[in-house]
Amino acid sequence: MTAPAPAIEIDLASPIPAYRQIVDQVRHLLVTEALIPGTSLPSVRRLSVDLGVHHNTVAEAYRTLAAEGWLEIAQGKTVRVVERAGKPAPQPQERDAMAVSFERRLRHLAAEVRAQGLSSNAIADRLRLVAEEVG
Amino acid sequence: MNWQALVLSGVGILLPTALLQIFPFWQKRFFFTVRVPDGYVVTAGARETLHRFRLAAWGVGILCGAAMYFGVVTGEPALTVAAPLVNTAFLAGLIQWARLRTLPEATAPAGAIRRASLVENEDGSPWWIWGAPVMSLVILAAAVGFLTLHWDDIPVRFPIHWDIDGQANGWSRKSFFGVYRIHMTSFAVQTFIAFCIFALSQTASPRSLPRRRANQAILAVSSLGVSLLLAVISLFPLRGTPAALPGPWWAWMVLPLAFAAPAVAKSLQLQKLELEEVEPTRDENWWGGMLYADSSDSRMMVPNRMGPGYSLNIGNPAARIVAALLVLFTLGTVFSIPLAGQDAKRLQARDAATEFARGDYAAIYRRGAPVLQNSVTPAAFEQQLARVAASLGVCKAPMAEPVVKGTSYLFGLECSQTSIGVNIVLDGLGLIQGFFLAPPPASASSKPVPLPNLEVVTGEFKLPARLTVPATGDAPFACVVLVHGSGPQDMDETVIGNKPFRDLADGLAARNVATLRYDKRTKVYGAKSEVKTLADETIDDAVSAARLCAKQPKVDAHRVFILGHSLGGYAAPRIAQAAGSNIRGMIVLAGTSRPLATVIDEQIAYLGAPPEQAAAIKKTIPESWWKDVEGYNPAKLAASLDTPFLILQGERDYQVTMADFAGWREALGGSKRATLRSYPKLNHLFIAGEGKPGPTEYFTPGHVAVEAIDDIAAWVKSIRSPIPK
Repeated sequence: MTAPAPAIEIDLASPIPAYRQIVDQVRHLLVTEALIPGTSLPSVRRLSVDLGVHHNTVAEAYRTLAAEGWLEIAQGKTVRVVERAGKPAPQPQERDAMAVSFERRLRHLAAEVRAQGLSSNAIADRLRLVAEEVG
Repeated sequence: MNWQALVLSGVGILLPTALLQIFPFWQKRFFFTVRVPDGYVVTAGARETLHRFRLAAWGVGILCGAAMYFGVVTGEPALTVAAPLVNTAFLAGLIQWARLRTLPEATAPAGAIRRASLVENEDGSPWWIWGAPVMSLVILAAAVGFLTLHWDDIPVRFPIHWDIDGQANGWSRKSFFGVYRIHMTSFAVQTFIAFCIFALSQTASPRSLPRRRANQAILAVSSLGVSLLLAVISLFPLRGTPAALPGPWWAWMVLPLAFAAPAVAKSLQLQKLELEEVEPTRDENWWGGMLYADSSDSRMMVPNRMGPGYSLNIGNPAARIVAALLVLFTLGTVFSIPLAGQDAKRLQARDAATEFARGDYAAIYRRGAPVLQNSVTPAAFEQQLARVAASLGVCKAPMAEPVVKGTSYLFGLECSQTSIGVNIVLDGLGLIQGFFLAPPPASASSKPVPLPNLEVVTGEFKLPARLTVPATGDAPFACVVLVHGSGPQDMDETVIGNKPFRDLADGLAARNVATLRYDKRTKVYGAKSEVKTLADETIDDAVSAARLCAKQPKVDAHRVFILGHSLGGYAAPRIAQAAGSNIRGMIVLAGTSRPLATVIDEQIAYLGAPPEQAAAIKKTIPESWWKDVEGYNPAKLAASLDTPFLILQGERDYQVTMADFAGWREALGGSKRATLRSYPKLNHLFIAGEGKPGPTEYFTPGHVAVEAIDDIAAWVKSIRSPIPK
């Protein structure tokens, strides 16, 4: 059985900007290797038509991912997944800052779902599952 | 009236209309284009509103559909156009009303989840979706080719539109547009359909692939059906001119239905698809629930919220251009319908006028409306027209466009004896209600351009003049100065109801010759004109007029002619002598060649008046005048000049007679510079008549004979401009 074709889904009613939703979901697909190097992604125009959003929104998302080293945009038309140039080994200082930021966002998120009734154990289980999933 | 066909086609149109208004009736969460949110249908009030809305929308839809069909049957294009507009406006209002009245409290935010695959997927349309529009264009091209190959078999006039009885009610004529208009229109439509199929593959989301495929299929099938039907109809001219539709009437309904059926079936499938897929467009972007506008949406078209088809996204710049083109195309089509009808009727009226000129009165009767055919038998009608036509001589088919007043079309006919107008009154279908003879129209297309405010100046005398320049043709034109006969004449030389100089001016203008005419000195100044000699009365002003003529910008100064009528003809040789090289030639119409006293005596005797009357007439002319012309022999003087002369004479002229013409012939007959001609039927005014000539016939308004005008124009053109030194 083959894996389902990679797809993304955005919610226009969400307070998270549409471009942020695209970046997050495509990055997730990249990290989990649902999209492997060499894969072509739909053109900016194609994806914006499919999602029914402005093409600037999709272009912005692709540019962000390209800046992170995931994508290569040739002539602004063909979008291709590329091998990231080596896993960057962050400086200790940088790593500390990243961890602090991650912890803060996690704390807010955990408080939110805890307030909605999810148990501490369930939160911990989910976190472990997600960590394993992204490898 | 074919009631079976009427009822069947009525049901055929109204049933789908009725069904579309309530589709999809199994889907309770839709009403028209508005999605009914959760929780709404559970309240009794909301259900009541929904129910009333559906009833109203359905009722109005049926009414408007019926009105539209009625408009098609009765040939009222306004109704056909107005009905769908009223329907749309009413529904938009209804939706707004329903939303404002009851929806807001219950409306939950519309779902706004949009999904997209990240895998580039092929369009994957089956071959026939692209093959159909290509095939349509090939079919049309084949029809064009076949017609072109058999061009000679196409009749001058052929039916292009039929009523419910299968009888022709629209005609076209054999011309490039008349024959190929149908192909050009359908070519444009097929290209547009092909564009739509392409646009769907480009701008529709893959998420709605089945829906897109179905829409493309509907477009492809209807494109093929329409072009096949039109191509067959376009070959009809090759059948000749029978008015009836070939084959049984129902066959012409079966063909479109055969192509419509799969399209309808596909649309029904689409209705079911809607159950699973509601396009997550936001409510606030749908104006009145019908028009989608969202500038942050890249799609040019979005699926309709209900039913098959797509809506343009007015927020998209490219879609805005397409929408503008569509509106222009629709308006152009709507406004060209009555124009085309006008054009067809004009053609039919022209055909009838041509048949009259040809003497085919039976054909005119066949074009008659019931009101005409019921009031007169064919034989009586033909006899009546033949009697009228007998006095006209041989007529040419009308050349100029008719003068249109409401439903009447007035054509001018040039006949060998006279010009006449034919006034044809048509009914709504282009059948003849009335056929009358009338005075000819002032020809509209070659209407000469009169330039006012000219003055012929001789010493202290200033005479109003008019230059008539041909409306068409290349300037500079040859110009003829018209010089009157005896008495205080106006520039038209009006004799009771006749205006021979106006006829000459208009007739020559139509033949590319300009004229200058003026009020006679004795007309403008009366007793103050102090006419002592022939020079005072006629010659001096004629020479001034020739000089004025030569100065006009559109006139060739080397080709100025003078035309003298009656006394003007008598004076002509002396005018030619006085004008010298200022004029290029001289035209004499019914000019006296014998002594005037003799002519006056003869006229009085002819009319049977006592000779004293002749003496009284001569007394009104001053002694000095008689002295001036003493010993003057016009013909002899003419023979001694280098000037070319054209001498024309009516044989029915009792005032200036064939004896005068004989005088001219004797002096000029052998000269190469002179052309002489007489006309058996024409009188002193060069108007045709019958029987013994007399003054009473001047009371019947007539026109200067076309043959005389033709001869004058031809002679003027035969005299070339001298090479300037």
